[in-house]
Amino acid sequence: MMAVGPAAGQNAEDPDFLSNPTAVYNQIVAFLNSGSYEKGLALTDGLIHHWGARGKEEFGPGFGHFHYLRGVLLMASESYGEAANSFRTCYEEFPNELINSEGLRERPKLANRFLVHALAQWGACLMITGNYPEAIEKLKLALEKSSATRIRTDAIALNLARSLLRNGELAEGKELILKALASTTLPAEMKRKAFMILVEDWTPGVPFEQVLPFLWDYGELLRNDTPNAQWERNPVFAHLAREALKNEEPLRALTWYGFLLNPQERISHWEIRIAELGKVVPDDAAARERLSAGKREAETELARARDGQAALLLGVGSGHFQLGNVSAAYAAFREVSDHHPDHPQWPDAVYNLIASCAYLARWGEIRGYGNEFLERYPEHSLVAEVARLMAESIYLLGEWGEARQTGVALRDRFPRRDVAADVPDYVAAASLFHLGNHEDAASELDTYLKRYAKPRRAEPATYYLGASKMHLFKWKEGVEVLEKFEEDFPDSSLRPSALLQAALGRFALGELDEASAKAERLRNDWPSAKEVAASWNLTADILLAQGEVPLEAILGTYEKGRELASADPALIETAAYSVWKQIALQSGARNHDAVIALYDDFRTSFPGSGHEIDAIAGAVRSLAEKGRHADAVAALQEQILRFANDPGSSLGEIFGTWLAFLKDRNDVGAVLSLVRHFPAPTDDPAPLRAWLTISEIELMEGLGDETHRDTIDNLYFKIQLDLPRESVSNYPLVKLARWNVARSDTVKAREILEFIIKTRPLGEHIEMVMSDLAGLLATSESETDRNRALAYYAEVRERFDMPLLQEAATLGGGRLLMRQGRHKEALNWWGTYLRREEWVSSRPEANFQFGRCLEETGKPNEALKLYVSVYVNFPGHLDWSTQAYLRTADILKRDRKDADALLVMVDMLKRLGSFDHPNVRIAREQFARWKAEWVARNPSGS
Amino acid sequence: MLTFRSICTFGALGFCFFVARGALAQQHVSIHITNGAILDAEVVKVGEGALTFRAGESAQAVELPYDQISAIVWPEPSEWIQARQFFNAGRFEEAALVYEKLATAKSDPRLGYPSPGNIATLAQRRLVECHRYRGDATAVANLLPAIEADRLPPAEREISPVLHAWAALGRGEWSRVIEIAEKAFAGGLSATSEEGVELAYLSGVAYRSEGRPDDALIAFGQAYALGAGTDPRILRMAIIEALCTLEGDERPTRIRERRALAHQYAAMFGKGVLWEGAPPMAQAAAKEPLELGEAALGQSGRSGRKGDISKQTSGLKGAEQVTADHMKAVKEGNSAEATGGTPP
Repeated sequence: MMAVGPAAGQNAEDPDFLSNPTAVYNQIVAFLNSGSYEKGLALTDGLIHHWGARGKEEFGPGFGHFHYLRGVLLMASESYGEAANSFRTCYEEFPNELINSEGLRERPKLANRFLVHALAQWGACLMITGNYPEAIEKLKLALEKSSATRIRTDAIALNLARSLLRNGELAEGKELILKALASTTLPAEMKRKAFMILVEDWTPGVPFEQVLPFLWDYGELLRNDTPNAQWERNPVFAHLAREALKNEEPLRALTWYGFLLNPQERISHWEIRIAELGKVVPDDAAARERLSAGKREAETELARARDGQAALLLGVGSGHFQLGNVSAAYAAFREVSDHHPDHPQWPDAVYNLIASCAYLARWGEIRGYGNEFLERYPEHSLVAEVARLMAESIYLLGEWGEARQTGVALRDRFPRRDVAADVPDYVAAASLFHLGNHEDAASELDTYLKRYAKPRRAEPATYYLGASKMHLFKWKEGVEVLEKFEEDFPDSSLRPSALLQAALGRFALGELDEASAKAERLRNDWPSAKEVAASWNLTADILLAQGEVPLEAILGTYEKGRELASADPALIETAAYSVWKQIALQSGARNHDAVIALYDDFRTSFPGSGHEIDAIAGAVRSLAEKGRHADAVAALQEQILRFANDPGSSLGEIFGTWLAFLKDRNDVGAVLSLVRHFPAPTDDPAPLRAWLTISEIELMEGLGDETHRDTIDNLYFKIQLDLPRESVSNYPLVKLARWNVARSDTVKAREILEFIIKTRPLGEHIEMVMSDLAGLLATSESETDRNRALAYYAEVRERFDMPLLQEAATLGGGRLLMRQGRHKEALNWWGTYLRREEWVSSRPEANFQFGRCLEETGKPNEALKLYVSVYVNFPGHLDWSTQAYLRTADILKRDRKDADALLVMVDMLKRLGSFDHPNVRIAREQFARWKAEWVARNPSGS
Repeated sequence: MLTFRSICTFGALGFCFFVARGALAQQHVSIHITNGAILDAEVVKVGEGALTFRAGESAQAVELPYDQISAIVWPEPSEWIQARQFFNAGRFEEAALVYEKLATAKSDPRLGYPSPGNIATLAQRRLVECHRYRGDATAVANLLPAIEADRLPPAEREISPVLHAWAALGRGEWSRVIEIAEKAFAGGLSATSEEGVELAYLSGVAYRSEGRPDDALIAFGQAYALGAGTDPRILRMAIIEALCTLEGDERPTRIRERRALAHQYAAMFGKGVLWEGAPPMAQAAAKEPLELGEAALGQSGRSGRKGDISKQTSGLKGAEQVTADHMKAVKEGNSAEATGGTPP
């Protein structure tokens, strides 16, 4: 029936050819197998059209084979909808059960052998087009009918499983897959397909804990596969990993990444291929074309592989980053940053790398990569964030020096007020605070707050500005800043600390009620703040300052502070302060037993505390009273030796306490001996040596015996020549400077004082330094020096609560201004002096000069009153009383009150004429002259 | 460069006869001459410095010194095939036993010692690889210097930096390990390649041995992070070593790192638990819940172009094609049976 057909290549419209279904069939199969789907389809359509309905009549159900073939060709061409129709036609219109016109079953001429195949493929097409319910129906039916057919039931089962999963029938679908995976006969390749179906269609909606056992049991299937096959699956796992990252499941993401084939293999493969192609020399145009095509393909694949590698690294880095594994995140992001500089996500990678570097303390790399980012992408939207991260990540880890360096570099990189410079600017300034450089911190923080319209770190900057002022003892300014901070940032977590510091500031300003109210507000509004313990100490200090508060009440308040502070190891110094103050109080009340109990408690509970020296100093008298003199001496010596190498204030304090204690109980000779024989360490530390030497000097000076002068001078020389200046504490240096002044070596004295000012601006005895230096500068020819002198006088006057020094400074400033003829300014200084009634050393001068300033500023009548008060109240102070007389007379003379002027002169000479004083001589001469003039004008002699 | 996945193949040539060394050897081999020519030959004698053979159909024996021979491809003995199968299956202990036997059987005429490409020396070379994959640095250190590189085929003479690093590790030369790794990376070796990952791991072990735990953790991190998709054996070892390095470190950053690694190991390698003998802090960390930090920048930024779950995925394509397989041509003349092709 079927004639032997001609060879392949026959026309789809050739009726002769089409008349031979066998030949056509073979040709179609040949086209199918060779991938020539369009030709196959044309031929199939041609044949079906040629035979039409006759096909079924002539050949029976077997004609359905062509519809089956058509369906397969359409599937290969991805026309699944049409393919489904062809399969449906094959299955439904060409059944093998034929019923003839008499209703009897007939045996078909040619059976349709692809019924079940068509059904299965139909189901597959329905699945592909998303019609899962129908697909399930067809595929289940195909499986039912498959027993009598040689067909790949495993493939049908997989399609069915996929359809079930996609239709939401997860349990049934998963069961089919697991059955396939557990099969002992199913080939590995099919098992891998089953695995992938579960991966793609089941795992996304299932918690990771449920997915893991499946991966543990069957994951090896994929790893034991060819690299090409693994590479083909990469997009699936990459997608799943990315979805996991989006859903913030980093561990899931990393697990999926573990299933990828590392793109490096592909990269190496294509790089080798490109190198090989580079050596090929084509013979002709066709070969050249093939070579070009080959190179294009290789380059495309290489780029794809590199892109894949970058994406893998970014994803892996992100996963580790979110899990907190900074070592791995660092490694991954660094690889992208170094080797994929042109990747569109390079900026993100560098940002994440910088963040990782911060945790790993890799400061140099933070700056290196950050700067590279800023140079390559100066306009990138992330610039401000990268700058912020570079500076702030270091700052938040408490690396103040590094933070300062980075902050400054970044701040200087950007234009002023640029938003990118904002946070680095803050970091640079705030780091100074933490480094203890409060002077510069205050200046830079102040500038920072004014520089930006809306500073991003206004809150902490304001707080640290206030705190800096407090550290600089600028109480008023500090309190102002901190109280404004409270208003501007009511919800700040720093408020308790700000409030406590403001309370301290009010206390330092002597505003006890305000200070007390703040401390109480702190306790009421933030009862669990760690500052509460210190607030009780402050309240006790306030009660103490108020006076007339029972001792027990004050002690009880300190004890509250101690109790609270003791519960927190971070507040150990607060607790120590409380005990120290109680020691001081009890010592003042001479409750020696209580002092000793507190002292022993302190030494046990707070060894090495910053208040240890004070506690010991407070307790030594009680120790001596209670027969523990040796303990007291030992404790003091122990502390001296502890600070023997430190030229700071601690050594001075404890040394002074030790010396005072010795003086209380020994004569000068004995003390001198103890000083000379102090058990200094063998290396004789310079700071301790300086104190011992100065003490020896002062003890000898106190003897008032000039025979010791040479010895004293030699000791001063030893300090000056043998001890490095930076190792000598401030007080010995001040004494040294004064000795130099006494020897008329003001240059050396000034050098010493300037050294202290420059290197220890906040050190102990700085008020003495300022006062002494001001005295030297005031006599300088340089106006700059004189202005500095005035500034130091002002600072001493305003900043230090030390009446003697303040008085001297006020005098110094007033005198300097008078010498400069700056009477208007001098008026304030002399006024200040006069307001302090307790200042009496130069009251006559102050009164006189005040009057002088009034006179020079156009108020002679008021000046007169002052002058009169001077010569009336202080006649014996000839320098001023005589001048007062003369100025009075002068003013009267100018007012043409000659008679009154003469009377004043008479009074002066009457009261002071016996004294040998230059002004008295002037007065005599002046009186004689004026009298002669008077007589000449008034001949009657009246 | 040799990787553990690559195989040196040898053509099975003709018949193999047992002959005593120096006597008439009737093995058929393929001789690769240094001038590029390849000769099929019958071995007459394997001398100390030369091979005597009859080439092709010639009856005349020819002697060629080894310095003119690149390599000789010998027929593979059954033991060699067995060892290779063990090796490819990852059964390195068993492979090592066989390779060791071959390596010491230099007098076995089948092995062609001492000619270039002889199987005894090749077995020695493979044995080193076995020790490498078993993680036995000491064995690598002991064996590597004994390999007569000039008796290997040219492609195998160069010893990779990774093997040198293993040997240095075996000798306790920590600085040398680090130096080898740094030099390799500086010379262009990719940190994401299998060798790069392995060198990172070895560097980590060296850093840790030198008392530089922070550097070790970064090296291990480089191994298991950049090694995603490579040999899971190295990744697993790197995570183990990292966890051991972190033991006792209570810095907050390291606590988080330990917790992350413990969970990662349990999920990827341990079937929910750590390995037997894992350090106490690691074990505790595996039981603590994971705390996630902030997401990395760009983590959720880009949706994938690739990997869309669609009909183009590998699983679907495979299933769809299965029933279209094996469409065959029909034979003419058999109308009842011969149409429709043979069902698959």
